[in-house]
Amino acid sequence: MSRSRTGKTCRKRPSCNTYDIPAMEHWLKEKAAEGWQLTAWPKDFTAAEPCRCRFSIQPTPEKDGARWAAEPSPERRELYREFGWEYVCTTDYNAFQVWRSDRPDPVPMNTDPEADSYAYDHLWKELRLRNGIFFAATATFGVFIVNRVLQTGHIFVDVMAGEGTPFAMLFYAVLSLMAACRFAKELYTLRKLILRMKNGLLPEEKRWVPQYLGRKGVALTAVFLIYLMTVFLFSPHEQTWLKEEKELQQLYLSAEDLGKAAEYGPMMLKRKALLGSEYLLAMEGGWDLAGRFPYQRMIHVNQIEVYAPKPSFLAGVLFAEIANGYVKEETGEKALSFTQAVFEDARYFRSPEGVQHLVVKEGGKVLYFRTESPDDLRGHLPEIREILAWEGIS
Amino acid sequence: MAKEPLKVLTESMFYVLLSLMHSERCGTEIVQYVSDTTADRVPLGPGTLYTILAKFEEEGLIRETAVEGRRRTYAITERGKGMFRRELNRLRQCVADGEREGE
Repeated sequence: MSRSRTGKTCRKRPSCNTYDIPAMEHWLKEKAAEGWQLTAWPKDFTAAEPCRCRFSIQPTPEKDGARWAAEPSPERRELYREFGWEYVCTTDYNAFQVWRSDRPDPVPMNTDPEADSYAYDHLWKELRLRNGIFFAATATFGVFIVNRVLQTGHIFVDVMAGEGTPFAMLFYAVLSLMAACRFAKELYTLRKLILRMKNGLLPEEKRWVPQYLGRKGVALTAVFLIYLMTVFLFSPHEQTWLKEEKELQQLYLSAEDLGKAAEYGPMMLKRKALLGSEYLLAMEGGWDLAGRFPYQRMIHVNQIEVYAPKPSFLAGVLFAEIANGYVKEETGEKALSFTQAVFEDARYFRSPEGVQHLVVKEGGKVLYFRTESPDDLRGHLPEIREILAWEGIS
Repeated sequence: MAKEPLKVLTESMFYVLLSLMHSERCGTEIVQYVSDTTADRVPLGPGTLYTILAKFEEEGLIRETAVEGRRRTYAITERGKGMFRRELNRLRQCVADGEREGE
């Protein structure tokens, strides 16, 4: 070993399951042979002279105060020392104590599998309870997400329009599911080991095999998830408040054009690009300065939203979400289909208050028109088609 | 399917109980006794010994009698003696059956 490496510390992570005791013991032995000595959990190693030593991972005994006792009692240390074993460290949750023997032929730590299995009983109960709580929490979270999607019925709309919440929830749901799978694997591994020992069989002698593919796979998955999260939350996002915006002339049908007095000045143009998909919002309205709502908010007098999703087949999903979920959320009713020959599909609803909702689909794009203007939107379908066909929207 | 705990003692458990039948002993003395009695036929590792002692204490088969410095001494209880006798009878029957039918 080079002198410069002596005393250097680093963290190493085994690709085997922490509860796969024989594999973990073998992995620690290999690290020691490579010149890395375990000093603290989790996985802190110090560079040292390579040595041939053995490791034994023992469940923390209940007698020592179960998982609350971080270190073994002096009596236990002395007894184990007489047999050639020195205490190294205690693992997470005080679940296991790691012992090392530098003797070439130490007395084996465990000699009776059936008797040894009793040491795992309380650990198994604790792990089952801890993971059970986690599974229950994950399941509750999953039900909450599904319920939310079913209730609002417009998760794709929210994601495309730049609302990060649904995606963030899905992101956390995926992470929770991955963690749940890991914990399930831990439970399975430990149960298998305990059953084997209770039947008087020695734990399987396992040789730790490096799983570079697995490690790379985990790293790639993490990078991919972080990329997705970044793209969704920080994707290009433009928002302007210009009434003279040139683009508006081509993609907007104003409230004035639809027979309503130009009451509100500000115009908002919002554009968002997301993984090749595009979302555009052109809106006429203003801040509620007259106290129409209990808190200050925007009044959407006249608004047009265009969704150009990639892949384009998502247009069908978006169309259904807007016509059934989005409109229903505001009016309590779904938008209904009507006879027309301009679009692939179109739905319309006019509320008793006179607010009109029009949803149309054409060429992999969806347009949603909401207005408080009096003119019937169904009489302006050709003009609306021109908006949807505008080359500024991919 | 796992066995019912302590219904049948393993060899290690049997000898640990035997070591305490006539005198109180600490961990090291128990290991020495088992090693001498069985002429090293029954190995008893420290991890196994500690687990057995903890289990026996939990089940009321033995009790801790003294703590001198880092030494803890154990003694067998009446319940432990009963368990030992039952196991001895079971083994006698096994041997008798074996001698009668197997030879």
